[in-house]
Amino acid sequence: MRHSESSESSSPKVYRVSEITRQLRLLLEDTFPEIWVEGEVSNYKAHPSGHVYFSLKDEAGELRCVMFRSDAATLRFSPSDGIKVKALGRVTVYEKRGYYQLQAFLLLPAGVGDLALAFEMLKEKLKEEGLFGDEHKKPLPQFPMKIGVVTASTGAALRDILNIMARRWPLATVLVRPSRVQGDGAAVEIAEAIDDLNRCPDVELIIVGRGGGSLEDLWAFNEEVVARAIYRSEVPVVSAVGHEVDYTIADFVAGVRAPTPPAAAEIVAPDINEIVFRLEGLFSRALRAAGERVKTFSERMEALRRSYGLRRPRDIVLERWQYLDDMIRRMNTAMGHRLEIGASAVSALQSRLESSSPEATLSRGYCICRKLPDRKLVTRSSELAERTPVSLQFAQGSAECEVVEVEV
Amino acid sequence: MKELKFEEQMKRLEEIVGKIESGEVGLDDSIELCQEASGLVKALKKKLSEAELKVQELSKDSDGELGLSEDEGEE
Repeated sequence: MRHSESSESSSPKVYRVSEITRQLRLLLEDTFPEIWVEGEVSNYKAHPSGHVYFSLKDEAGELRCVMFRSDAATLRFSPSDGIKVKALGRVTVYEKRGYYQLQAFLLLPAGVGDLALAFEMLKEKLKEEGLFGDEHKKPLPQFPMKIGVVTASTGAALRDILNIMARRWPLATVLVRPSRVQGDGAAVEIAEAIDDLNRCPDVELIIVGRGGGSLEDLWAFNEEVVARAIYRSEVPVVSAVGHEVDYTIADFVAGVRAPTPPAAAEIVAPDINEIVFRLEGLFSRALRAAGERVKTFSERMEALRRSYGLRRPRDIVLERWQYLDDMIRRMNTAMGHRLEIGASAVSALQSRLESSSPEATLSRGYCICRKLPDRKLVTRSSELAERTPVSLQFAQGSAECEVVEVEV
Repeated sequence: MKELKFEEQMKRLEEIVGKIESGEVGLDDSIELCQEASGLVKALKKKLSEAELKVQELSKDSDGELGLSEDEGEE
């Protein structure tokens, strides 16, 4: 039955281009969220933007691929046309041009085994989740007194670690939490051991590791449970798996990656000889500095002794004396002056007083005439008569006389 | 905690040296600090020379209980 003849007689659904493209995109992305595709690289182009464009081909088909800059930056080889690779990515649609493509996260040369693929996938996933972020990595203590170790109890790794610890840093206590390090269930055991050591008080760091072996032997350290246990550890974890060249997921999550188990011990344990050396250095610095202080102080003391400051109190006394003398002198001068002024004022007054007194008049030759016997002062000749007795007072002495004649 | 003492003493020693060197303490204090430093160095050296690595094993029984057993330190 054709659509147009349906009983509902509605018009057929007409998609807009962007609409159908979007739906196809969702469909594809949901169906192929993360797949591995193997093929031969062609048209490989590294764009200046950092994005990489290429196709994967086989005898019968071709798949466009894009690898964006952040993913392309992690490429550990340079792909070129014609080489066979495995790509991890999701199928998506480039809506503008309407074609589907593989957005690749990871590109590996073909021929690497399944373990390597699993490794890369887990690595990619945990990195996405931020388990490798430096901000989660805890710094190692300078003088760890309790060190947790997760490894096989019979392995050379433990023996090496203990030997180096005993030599370099015998102050520490090593708390070994034995664990199988390879085979089924080893990863879970390792993870559990890390958790257990985290529950022990005072454990300051944990070394997790084992000696060298094949990729399969080391595999436990590439498992997610171990990665998560390291990530959730409250104390810093040092991974020490296999040899220098072996990298495991544990190495990426751990705060510090040691190339080998003995190297881990060297990294976490301070060298006792260095510390003794440092102690002696510190002590001689303290002595030298204190000696300097003593020297500086005695020099300062000597300088002070000779200083103007210490001589000054005496100077001050002398200066005050001088000042006092000065003041006394000035006071005396001032007083003397005052007295002189006073004295001359007094004598002026005295002479004025004297000049207006009868004695002064008398001394100039006048005399006072008093009528006797009542000694009444005579100021007119008419008060007198012939033979009237009078007393004449001179400046010095007096005389009694008789009037001879009166002229009026 | 006794184990933490080493780091604390080391820190104190560094602090003392820094104090004396900075010249911010007086003469009496620097002499006193110097004596303290001497005591610290002696104590630290003693700790270092007498130290012997202790090895313990953390084991877990079937009930998931953790247990400690002490080993002799390896030479």
